[in-house]
Amino acid sequence: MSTADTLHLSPKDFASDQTLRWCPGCGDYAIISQVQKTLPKLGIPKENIVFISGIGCSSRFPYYMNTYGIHSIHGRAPTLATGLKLANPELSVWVITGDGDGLSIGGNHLIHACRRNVDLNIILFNNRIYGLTKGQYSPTSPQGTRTKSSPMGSLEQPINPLSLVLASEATFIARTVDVITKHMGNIFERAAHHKGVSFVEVFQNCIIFNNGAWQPYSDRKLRSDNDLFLEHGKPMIFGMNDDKGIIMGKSGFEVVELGDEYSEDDLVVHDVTSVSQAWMLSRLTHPMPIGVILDVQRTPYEVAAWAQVEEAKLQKGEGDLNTLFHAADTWQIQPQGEEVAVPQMTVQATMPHNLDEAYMDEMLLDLSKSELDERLSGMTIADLKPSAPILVADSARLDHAIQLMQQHNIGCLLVTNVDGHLDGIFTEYDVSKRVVGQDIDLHTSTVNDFMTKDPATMTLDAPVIEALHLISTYGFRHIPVVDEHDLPLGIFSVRDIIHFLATVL
Amino acid sequence: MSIFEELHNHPLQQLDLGHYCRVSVHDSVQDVVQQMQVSNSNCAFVMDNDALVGIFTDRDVLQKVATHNELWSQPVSNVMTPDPVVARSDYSIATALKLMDEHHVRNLPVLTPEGSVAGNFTHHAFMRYLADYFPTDIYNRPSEARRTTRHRHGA
Repeated sequence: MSTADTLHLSPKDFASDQTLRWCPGCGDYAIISQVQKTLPKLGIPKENIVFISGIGCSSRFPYYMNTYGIHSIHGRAPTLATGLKLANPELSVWVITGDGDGLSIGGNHLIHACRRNVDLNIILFNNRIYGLTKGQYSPTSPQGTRTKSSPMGSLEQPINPLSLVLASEATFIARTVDVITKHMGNIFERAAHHKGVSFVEVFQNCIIFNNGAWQPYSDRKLRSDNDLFLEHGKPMIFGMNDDKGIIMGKSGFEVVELGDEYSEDDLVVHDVTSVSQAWMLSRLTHPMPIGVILDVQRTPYEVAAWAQVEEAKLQKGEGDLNTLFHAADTWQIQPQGEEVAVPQMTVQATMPHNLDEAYMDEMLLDLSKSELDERLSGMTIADLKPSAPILVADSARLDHAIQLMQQHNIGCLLVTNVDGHLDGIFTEYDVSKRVVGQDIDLHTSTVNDFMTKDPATMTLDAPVIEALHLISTYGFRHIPVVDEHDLPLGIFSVRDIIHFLATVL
Repeated sequence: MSIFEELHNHPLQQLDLGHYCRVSVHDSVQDVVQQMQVSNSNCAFVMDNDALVGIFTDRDVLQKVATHNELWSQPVSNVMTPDPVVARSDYSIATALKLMDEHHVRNLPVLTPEGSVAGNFTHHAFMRYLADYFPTDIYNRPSEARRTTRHRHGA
């Protein structure tokens, strides 16, 4: 069996060549980044992974993943996924859905996927609004939400996704937040490892139609007082100074202040195997539970179903489809008289293709720029004057490359092929973690064997904030700067940003 | 409060300072490199009991050890950077950034006012802090800048 180590996949291997068509600032970007970071850790070859979505903004997801994918029927992603997993249990099957797709149009399909306990990983992007259809209230919008389709406020009680899937007997239930990226990555990894249905609700911000819907739980300053981060076996504590907790009151959970009256020993200890605790957590809104709420084991549907097939074969022998087909009365419809010609129809009308643009211009909200945006607005990579690159050929011997880094006292070489194009990046991390002490002959090995191939690159006119994104999402320390022909121009490093801040602070 | 004011007011102790590993001053270079590899750390704090006496980083591995096998068995104290530049846990982030820039270092050990080790302030820790403050600007972007659309789109 292959493992994460033998496959050598990176997040980049899971990104497709398609243009991302989510709005700038959409929480979907953070989610796809974390999924692309999680998959290489699972040790599953790309061709055994499938993403299935329904309809909605989030459902564009499969296009952007370099795996198999199906952009399927509205609300029916869990159903297609069930069939696929049943037909080929070897696949890692992910369902991408939203609050509209998963809870209104496909509510019934979701419920049944959960109770069957098919080994699927269902990620529900909850932004409490219909984004793709431009801002109508959704099944998770709070009562009283005013939108174009509910001008005087919505009347319905919102659905609580976690309570719904718990009532539907899901075996792994978790919640995370789009901007708490590390937490989100851990949750996806745990969901992937769970055998049986995994349901993850992600609080996702729709920056255009419902900006700030989850602010109390995502904002860095507010969330420690509003979020209850759950850890199995640990007491339920929250608050800026870890000064509040949850006790079991007479009729459910109660929030208490820690101090003279209550100590940590009085608090409820989180148990991911307790369904009744999971129920109370699913109903809790202050604080908002974040993390794994339930994680229990039950035989997955596809395992039990295939066991039944084997059992049936033992009892009745191999089946024969033809025999089954002719087992009951069959008959043939005979044509009667002349065939009637179907008139050909041609569609004359054409859609004005700029309708969408015009509508969006009208809808564009005055998104106030954040302060960082203002400070760094217009600043490009060129403004921070990235260092000139030190180049090395991909066929260079390892000892020569290391000596080159030593001479220049730098931590990063750009590796070029015979045409001078950027081929890879070779860093001190590669030396200290993959070469030193590993019984490698420096004279016979080449840079090509140890470099990172096809690294993420930037051009000189790219905004600095894009570099910040790559650095914080992927932990890069260096980003090669190239021209439009992929010829290396420089190296941008975290040091350049720190230096800039240190001089303006 | 503006971000720049916050950088001046926020003490280091509020950041994630966990990116380092601890080794003993008596460990051999080989042991230390192995511990750094196992814990995936870029920086080892060299400790004499509870006192920080030096640091040993990936850059040291590259510069001093990578092509000098004869150093393998020597104690790490021979190749470490003794008495490294440090910050106190009540220093502001701004102060620490300036120290980093001035001394051209990537790892800044953080000590409590009493002198015990509180953690390691790194470039990475700062980038995470910044991203945490401006998640919409930083996280919620397409991963490859060249593959984005300038317009907001629906289907």
